[in-house]
Amino acid sequence: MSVVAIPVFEGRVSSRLDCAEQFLLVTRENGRVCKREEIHLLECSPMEIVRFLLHEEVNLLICGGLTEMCERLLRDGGIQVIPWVQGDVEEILARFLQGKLPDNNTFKGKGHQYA
Amino acid sequence: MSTVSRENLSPIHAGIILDSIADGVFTVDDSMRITYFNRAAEKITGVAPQDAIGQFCFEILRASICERTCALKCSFNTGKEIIDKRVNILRSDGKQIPVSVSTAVLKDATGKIVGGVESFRDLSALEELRKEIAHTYTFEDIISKNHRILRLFDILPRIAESESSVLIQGPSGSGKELFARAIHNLSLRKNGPFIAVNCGALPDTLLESELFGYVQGAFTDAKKDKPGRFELARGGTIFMDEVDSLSPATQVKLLRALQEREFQPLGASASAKADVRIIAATKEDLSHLVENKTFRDDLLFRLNVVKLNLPSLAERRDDIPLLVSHFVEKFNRKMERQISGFDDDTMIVLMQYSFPGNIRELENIIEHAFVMCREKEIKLSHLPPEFTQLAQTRVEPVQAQSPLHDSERQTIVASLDRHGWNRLKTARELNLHRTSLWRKMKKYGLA
Repeated sequence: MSVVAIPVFEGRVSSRLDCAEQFLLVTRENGRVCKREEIHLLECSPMEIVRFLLHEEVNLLICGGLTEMCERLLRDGGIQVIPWVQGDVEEILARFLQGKLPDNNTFKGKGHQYA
Repeated sequence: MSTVSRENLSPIHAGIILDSIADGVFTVDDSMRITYFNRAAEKITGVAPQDAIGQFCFEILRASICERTCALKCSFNTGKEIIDKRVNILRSDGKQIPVSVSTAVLKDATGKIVGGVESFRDLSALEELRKEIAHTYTFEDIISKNHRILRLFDILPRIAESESSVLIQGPSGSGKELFARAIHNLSLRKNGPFIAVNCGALPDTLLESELFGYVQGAFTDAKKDKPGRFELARGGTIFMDEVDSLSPATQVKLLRALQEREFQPLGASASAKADVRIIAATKEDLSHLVENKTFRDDLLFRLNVVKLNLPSLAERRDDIPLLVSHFVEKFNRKMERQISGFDDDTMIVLMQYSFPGNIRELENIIEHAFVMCREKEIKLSHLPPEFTQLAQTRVEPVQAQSPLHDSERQTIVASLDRHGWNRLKTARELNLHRTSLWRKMKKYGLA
């Protein structure tokens, strides 16, 4: 079982993790989505956001802009990250589930537009 | 010659005018997609106009308010301008830039809102000045890509979150106070005060009253109560630099403050609660002082709950190019100059210097060079005189351990210099695996 988190803003991947207030948590088992949850956080600090992700036992985070501090905190917490992704959340999720989302930080510097 | 007036201003003229100003300016349509992006906006965000146009503004600017209290949306809703709202934007390299934003709506001839305009001003220089004055450094202000410092970055948030005492050991100028402030600003006590005291700068008789305060009548000149640094740091952090210079008597009082979480101001009959976190710093190895019986072992155990060892600049030589760029950028802003950096020969001399005064010395050298340099690039002649001597001795052959050993070291140093001490590029050029390069750098004292 693994948990994928995506910060969301108006149906798109939130443009920066440290300011995100809404998260989509997707639980997968044997390659299939078995649970979807939308969670709202209000005015959390970057540290509180990372703590929330650790508490939810997130294995992978797909997100937009990432500060150096958030990146360190996530790496320290053992969460795998696909950062600097831009686009419609459902489309990004579908691409990820189909294995079409690169699993490393290849787009840093410009952002990677999906939809 | 025809004149350009407000009435006959063409889009080309408007574009030239907007590109010539120092503030970033962009416009959006009513769905928040960018329709115009000027040259300063490109410079501040690092995003080219062709990549920005057509995108949602919140995905390009990435301001801290975009998803919470968007200034443009406020202007859309109220029809009013927003002036100089201070926020930060996240650049695509992961750096946060402080800016002030102003917004207004754009209307068509009928008065219908068709979009908005946002201008933003880079406040980095101002913010840096403010930080220098207020000392509100965070751990993102620590500049490094050195593996030893990166390891410290990894544990710093956990250290900050705990309430444990921290002992920072490192040579002068290695950034002990910067780390202490970063820990404080990352901790749950960040809204409390950060009080720094240099234990080595005060005579022992004064230090005790400075740390713990005194009450009226405690001694002849004590006309009224004076709170000590422990009291001033209540709810926050006290940073005690040069803790190795504490006298035995003050060590006992500090030990009590740590053990009992209380202290007694001079002349007071009752104790006061010590609601502070202690971060101590020393350039000496305290365990040696314990062996020499000049420092209490029980105090060392109390202070040394978490220990951070900061390397000297000579031990993190790979950070020199990064720090040089940082200070060049800083002095360019501070002195309103446009120096591009150091020429290659000068950089090589800097890379070989031992920096006994560490980062503080590097900063002073660069400030000196900024004063002396009237050109675009800093040259050897702009550095303090001792560097000219160093450059002359550099060409003389050094006594090598063995010719092979020496030649391999020189090849690695030359390649590192060529690539600004970028290990990946150096490894590629030398046809080595990164790890092998690192091992060799370690062997030759370069890592």
